[in-house]
Amino acid sequence: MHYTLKEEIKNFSFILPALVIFSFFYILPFFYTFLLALHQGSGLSSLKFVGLENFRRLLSPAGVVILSGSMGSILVVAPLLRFWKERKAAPEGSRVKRIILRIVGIGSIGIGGVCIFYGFRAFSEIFSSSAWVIDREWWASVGRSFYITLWALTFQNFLAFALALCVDRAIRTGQIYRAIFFLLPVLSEIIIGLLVRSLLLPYPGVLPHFLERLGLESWIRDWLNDPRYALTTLAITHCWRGFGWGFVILLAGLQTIPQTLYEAARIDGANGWQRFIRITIPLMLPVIVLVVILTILGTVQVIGLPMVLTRGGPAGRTTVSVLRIYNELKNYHAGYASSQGIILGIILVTLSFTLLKISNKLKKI
Amino acid sequence: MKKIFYLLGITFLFSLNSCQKKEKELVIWHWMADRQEAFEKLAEQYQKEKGFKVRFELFFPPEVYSQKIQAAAAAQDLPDLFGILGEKKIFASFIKGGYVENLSSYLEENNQEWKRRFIKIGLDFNTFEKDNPYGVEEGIYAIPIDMMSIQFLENKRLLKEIGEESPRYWEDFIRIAKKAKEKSKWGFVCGWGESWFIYCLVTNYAFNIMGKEKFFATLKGEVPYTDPDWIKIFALFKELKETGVLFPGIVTLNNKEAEQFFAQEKALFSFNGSWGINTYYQINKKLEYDTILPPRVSDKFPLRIWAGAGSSFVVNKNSPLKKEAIEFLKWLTQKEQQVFLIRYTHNLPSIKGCEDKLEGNLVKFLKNMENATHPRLWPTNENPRVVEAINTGIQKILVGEAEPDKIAEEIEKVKKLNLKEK
Repeated sequence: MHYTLKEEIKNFSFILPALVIFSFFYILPFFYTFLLALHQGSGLSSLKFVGLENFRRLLSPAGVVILSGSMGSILVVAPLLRFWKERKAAPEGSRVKRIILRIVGIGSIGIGGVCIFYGFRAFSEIFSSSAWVIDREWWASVGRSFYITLWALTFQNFLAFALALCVDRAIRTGQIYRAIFFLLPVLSEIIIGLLVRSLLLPYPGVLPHFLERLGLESWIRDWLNDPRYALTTLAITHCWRGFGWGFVILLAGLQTIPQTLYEAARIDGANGWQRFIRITIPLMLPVIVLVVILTILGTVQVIGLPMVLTRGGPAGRTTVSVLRIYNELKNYHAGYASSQGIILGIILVTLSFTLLKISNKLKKI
Repeated sequence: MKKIFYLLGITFLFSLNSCQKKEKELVIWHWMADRQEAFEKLAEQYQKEKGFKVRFELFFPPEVYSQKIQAAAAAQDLPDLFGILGEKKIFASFIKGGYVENLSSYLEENNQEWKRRFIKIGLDFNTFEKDNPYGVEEGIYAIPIDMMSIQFLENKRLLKEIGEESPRYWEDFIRIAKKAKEKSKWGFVCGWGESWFIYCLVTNYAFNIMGKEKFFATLKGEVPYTDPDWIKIFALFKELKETGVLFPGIVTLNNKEAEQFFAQEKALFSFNGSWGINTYYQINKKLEYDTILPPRVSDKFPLRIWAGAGSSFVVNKNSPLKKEAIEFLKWLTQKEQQVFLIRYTHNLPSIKGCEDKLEGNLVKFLKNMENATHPRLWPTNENPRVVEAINTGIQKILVGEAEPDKIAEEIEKVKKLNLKEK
């Protein structure tokens, strides 16, 4: 069915209110963050344009050169390839959509061109003495975030999956368990943080007192103030609070698997382990990937818990990436905080896409 | 026809809404949770006296408040009166952004009648001198509504129990704190989880050990943090750790927790601000304590403590109720209102002539004011990243992870990077 340009514009006018709202609340702030990342200052008085300086500090000068070169190439090559394909094939979709895509494509080539130009211009920096100087504190905080994420991906999700498997069978009591396990995630991070803090404080901590009473003094550690344990304490607390999310999603996924499949497998002589490996896991793969992505996104962005539990201490050992961004903002370094946010965003988006790709590949196997 | 009827109806409703005259009211944003009730009472009083409505809006905790005003400034949606938290650089950026009214001319009116009310350091706190490094036009930009000072506190009863007197020197402090430890009390508690407390004590000792000139020279980047005097300051924290007098978990304790433990008489000494009075009073009415200067390390230079305006209000430059806002501030800083605030909130007054109305514990915090200083009064402030490096470094010393000289090197590295960026 072909529409005239007037009709297409009329059709698009119906989604205009939603588009305006979406642009105002999502696209504009998104671009404003990019814009802020190119500036230095508080965002209150005049902002000073510093180009890629914030990124250079974060990623090292050489890192920015390499990144801008490779990103620029992608931004130029991808739309060019699309234009080339379009030239050969018959036009598809509405005219307005094609025009919008063309504008976006040209914009992408323009931005990509600037990136490549910058990469060439600053190429000599790769050989300078300070070429690979990065903001170590920032990357250490990213490392801490991923350490907690690793705990969440393994300990938290295994626990959630194991509990979901148990509850999946217990039809009658399932609802009660679901409510109990989901109680922790709905409680605020602040409440959980305060609760755990009061339990673990060396004085007058409840847990140390309890262990002492049991004659287990040798088990007592300064879990919150000893740099060796503080981050792990934070990770375990986060897992304890967060496993309910995974549990509910995984349980919902398990309950969509038809029982007939298990019955057929049982008749064919498959044991419990075989049914789990051959039926449960393959059918649960999309749900597992979803839980993994949500766990990564939720854990890397954790901030309330470390703020209450340890305030980022001792000696910065629990200062995770988002807390660091928050601290930069608190110090009115809006530009640098924005650049940190963008880098963290890129890492998370890349990870999520990679996981999705892997899951699609696994599904085909 | 139906459409026209609806259209007319909507137009009529809108016209009704626009005809409704809005009552004028002053809106004030603040972060002081403990003072909201007192502020509301004052607002009622003001309406009775002057017939003008005032509304205090509380945003708590202070971090949330700071974000709120930052966002409101960017959206040009600040209230008529508000407070600005943080260092002078931040205050300056609000002024340069065109959000804050210069109040100098109003303070000078009627032969400085308004200006002469205040305790000098309170106004100095909000003053930008001529040719200041922030590039702000000379003037006074905020009105203090109370004062604060941060000092050492000692538990008088415990001190008497162990047969000791107030320590004047660092060695005495360590000896007494150790003695308290022997009697199953901790020597020292402070909310060092809120790391700015560490920086505060560090600068107190910087004044004492190296003197004002050398300290300011460090801030300007002329003296390195690897200087022996700085290492001596960092070593004080190592000594605190090694003697075992520190309250357990001090590196992540927040101020409220530290106040609570001091009020419960778990520790002999504390380092806290005058705002702690309320907590002490609520937890232990019988707590006998006094303020002292941090024990001196050297007699070469005077030791300075942080003091100044506790909280101040600025007038929104773009407010249509600017004059009314200034009138309200004048009223709020009259003796009757200040006395009401002192009695209700246990804070130090920002104006002179209220000393006789202060309760005993508050008077203690007025002691040592001749030794007062504050980063806002210094010619230049340290970069927040360097301050963070100092605080983190000292926490490392406190948890036994690093030595003072290594920390000095780390701080100097951050300082150099910062100077290079400048």
